[in-house]
Amino acid sequence: MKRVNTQVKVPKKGLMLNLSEEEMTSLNHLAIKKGLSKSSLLRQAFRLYESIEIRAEKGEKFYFENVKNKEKSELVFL
Amino acid sequence: MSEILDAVNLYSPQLRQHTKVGVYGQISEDELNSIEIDWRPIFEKQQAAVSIEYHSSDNYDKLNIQQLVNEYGIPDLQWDWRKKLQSSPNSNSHKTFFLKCDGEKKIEAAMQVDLTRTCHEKTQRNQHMVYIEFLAAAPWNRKQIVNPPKLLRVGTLMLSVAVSLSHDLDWNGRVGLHSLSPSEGFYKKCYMHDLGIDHHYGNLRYFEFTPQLAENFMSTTT
Repeated sequence: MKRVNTQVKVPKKGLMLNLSEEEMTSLNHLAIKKGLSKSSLLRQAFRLYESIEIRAEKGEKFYFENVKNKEKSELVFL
Repeated sequence: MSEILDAVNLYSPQLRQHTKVGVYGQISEDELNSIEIDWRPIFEKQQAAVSIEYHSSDNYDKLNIQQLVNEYGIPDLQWDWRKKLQSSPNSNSHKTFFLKCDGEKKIEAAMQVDLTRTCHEKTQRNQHMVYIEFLAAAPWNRKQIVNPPKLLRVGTLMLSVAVSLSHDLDWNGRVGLHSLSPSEGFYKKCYMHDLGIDHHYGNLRYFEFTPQLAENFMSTTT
């Protein structure tokens, strides 16, 4: 059978990033927790931020909801 | 501007030979026009055939219109790709892909994915995954509409694009989707985990690839 699967690689560009000690510790901690490389984690953080930003620009609000008491708290993005 | 990401040979039963198919990223105006000009008239023809069969049947009140729509190969009849892409344009959170034969302009299949979702499967809960929002083959690649179809396995190729993207993002092949009912069998054959009917999402059946299941799928398509 001929190959049907594919190896899609999205082209990427490099970036030099300076972080404080605390920021680097948090980044390491989150990367381990999510099983991602630091680079992947930052890319996903950016993706989520952009997604929220696009929806906020359309007039939507971003909330966290407490599953127990249903209390909602709105997150404000700059 | 659409860019080619890979090229694969798919078998064409009409040509009785393999044909080179390009995997492209980012659906643009040209591809949207192709879907509207090349796909839409065939869908409308099928829709008219459904209507004739439905109304000419002696017991049409007992016929299930959705079942007829599925049998005629157009369960995605209501999908408006232009609206879909306008509501979530190409960004870092949403990506689109399409297939095109070497030297041709017609779109053979199209897919949109959301990169902000997390898994439902209990061993993968809260892990990132590629969520397939929409995946459709061109009407001439559907056996219910054109038999033999122009190309075989365009759905398999698109699913492998999603798995491959998931690997590229360090998500180990995790992919999820809600399936239209005629496609459920296809996703089961692809080894996707059937997590049952999602009552919060139009009562569609939800499927997921764990890293292991994605590996099983990719190894059978190599």
